[in-house]
Amino acid sequence: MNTTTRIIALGMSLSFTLFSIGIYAQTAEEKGLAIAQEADKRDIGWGDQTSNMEMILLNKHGDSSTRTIRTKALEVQGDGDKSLTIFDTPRDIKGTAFLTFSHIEGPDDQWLYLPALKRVKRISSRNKSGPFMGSEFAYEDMSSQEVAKYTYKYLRDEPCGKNLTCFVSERYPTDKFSGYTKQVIWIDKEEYRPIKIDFYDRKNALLKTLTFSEYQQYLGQYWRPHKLEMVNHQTGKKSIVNSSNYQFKTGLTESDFHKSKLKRLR
Amino acid sequence: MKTLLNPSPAGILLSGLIFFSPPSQALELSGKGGGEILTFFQEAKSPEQHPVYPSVFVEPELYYSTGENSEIKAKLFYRYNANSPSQTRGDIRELMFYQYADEWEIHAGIGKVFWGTTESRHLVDVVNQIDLLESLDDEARLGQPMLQAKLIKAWGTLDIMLLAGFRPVEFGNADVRSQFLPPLANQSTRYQSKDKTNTLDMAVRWNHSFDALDLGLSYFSGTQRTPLFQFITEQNQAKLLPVYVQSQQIGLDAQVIVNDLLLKAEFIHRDSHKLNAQNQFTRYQTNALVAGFEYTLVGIGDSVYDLGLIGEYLYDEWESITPFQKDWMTGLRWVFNDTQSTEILMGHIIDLDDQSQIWTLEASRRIGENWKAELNGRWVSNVNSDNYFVKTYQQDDLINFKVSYYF
Repeated sequence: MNTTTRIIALGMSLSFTLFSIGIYAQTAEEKGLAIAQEADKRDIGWGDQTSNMEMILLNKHGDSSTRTIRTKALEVQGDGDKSLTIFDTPRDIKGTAFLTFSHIEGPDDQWLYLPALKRVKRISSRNKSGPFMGSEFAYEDMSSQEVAKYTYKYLRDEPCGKNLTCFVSERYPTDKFSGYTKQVIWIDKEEYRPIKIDFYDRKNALLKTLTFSEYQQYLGQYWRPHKLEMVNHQTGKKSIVNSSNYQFKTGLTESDFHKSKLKRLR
Repeated sequence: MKTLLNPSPAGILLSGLIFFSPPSQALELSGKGGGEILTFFQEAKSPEQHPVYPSVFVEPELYYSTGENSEIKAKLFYRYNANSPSQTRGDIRELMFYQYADEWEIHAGIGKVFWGTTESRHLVDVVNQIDLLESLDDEARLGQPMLQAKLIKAWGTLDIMLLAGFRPVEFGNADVRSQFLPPLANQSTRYQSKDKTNTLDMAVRWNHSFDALDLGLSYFSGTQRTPLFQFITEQNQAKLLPVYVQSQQIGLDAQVIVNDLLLKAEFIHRDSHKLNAQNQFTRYQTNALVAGFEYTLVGIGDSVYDLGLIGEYLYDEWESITPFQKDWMTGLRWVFNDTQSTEILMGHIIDLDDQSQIWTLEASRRIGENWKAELNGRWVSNVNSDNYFVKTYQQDDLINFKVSYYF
């Protein structure tokens, strides 16, 4: 914000024309970044969290398939979060687990545990554009959202649902392995919660829309959506995630997120 | 080592305690069961063999919590094969008591471990004996009685294991396809150790991650899992006698991720024994290596499909225990990324010395929420008559269809 103040001061001291530039001196890019930073700041300090997820995969004929998943996450200051994803159903992959150390810079570290073989497999996290367990969510949609993973451009303010107004920004993935050229993200002006994201594919065509709903606030600060709905506009398929049983500060530590402990998980 | 013994009563090591834990804790049952039809394309080589082997199997898993940081897990297995008495059998894959702490674990009972990184052959993975009668893809293992201590430290994870008793390969009888030629001897197996199967072997493994590198170092001392064969005469017929020698093995396994390329390697040095011309044991030192890569083309042609490319070079100085002296494996893994988790894996191994070739196919797909269908195939081509192991699979090209229900 320092830069902006300096620019405004400079504008005022010069001429009327420059003064008018000064008002808009926070460029669309700076404002987009500032919104992302504020949203990030408001979500600092949750420590660790666990939750249960039910992911429902729907094709355009309405056939559905369900996955039940447990997640554990640990907030890491100065880097991306650590997370564990454990599958309970479908039953043939029961006990399968992903361990992810996400990083702000560079590729994430990721291990996969295959219980039938008792095998822990290090996997390439570059495969982020691929579908997560056959759903409309890509791995990168499920991963820790860090400010530095995108560049931003603020577009406009816009009503977004009941009594809500949103900042609408474009964000561009900095990772060349991303499956997207850009995303348009709606963030509500009051609580800085993501409300909707449009995803554009590598040909810059609208691919998917993700909507966040049924938000609840935890520990008097942290908002978590209890429903995510991802619609693929190109295939007509849809994936819904219902989250429940969010728990915070459960006492998880770094040592719970260890590849040698994947076999212990139940 | 002191910390290992301090917090938990020595009694946990007594298996008796396992069965006298308070009954208030939850017992959970899960697992799978199903049917298979194994079909061979060529005529059988002997009257005991069949063109088709239908079978049913069950693999229940039990979980019993004995406390906040301890549990018992069991995994049993049984198959009824309508055309094969040899393959009508069961096994205790796992019956293990686990005690967990932040930086250590104790496991006591029967269990299975997996060591290594490569796909075509598991060189460093020597703890469990292969279950040959259940192994179309070299992944099935017999349960091994063991006492294991695991240390999870900043400098890596260290496993120290005492392996109680040795389990020889179960080859089955004449009803099993494929059979060795000449056939196996009826008389008992030969062991270098006087204790035969009542051995106490030892295995140690350290593994750690350094950024993009995962590294493992292992040591094994005891009865070598893979047998050699001695030619004998039994009832005026040439027969093969499986021989289990004493061996020490040092293993190294590594995987490094370079961009989206996975580089993998396993290396072993065996300080072992073989038979001399008089069929006496002599010291025999050999090296073996598997090294290769795995690369995944994500979303080929703007689709959601992934194509994984696997290439591995296999090298082994010990000729008489394996077909893989100098071979190359190519694998193509087609992942549909669909709701049913459909996958097809094609494998091809070529002997770089004599061009004998083994082809494999593994396809799987979930049906509904609780069923899974699998199709496996194996056939050989261009078989050199001197390639003893590949020749064994000749006239035994097969396809196996399996349907499993998960409960």
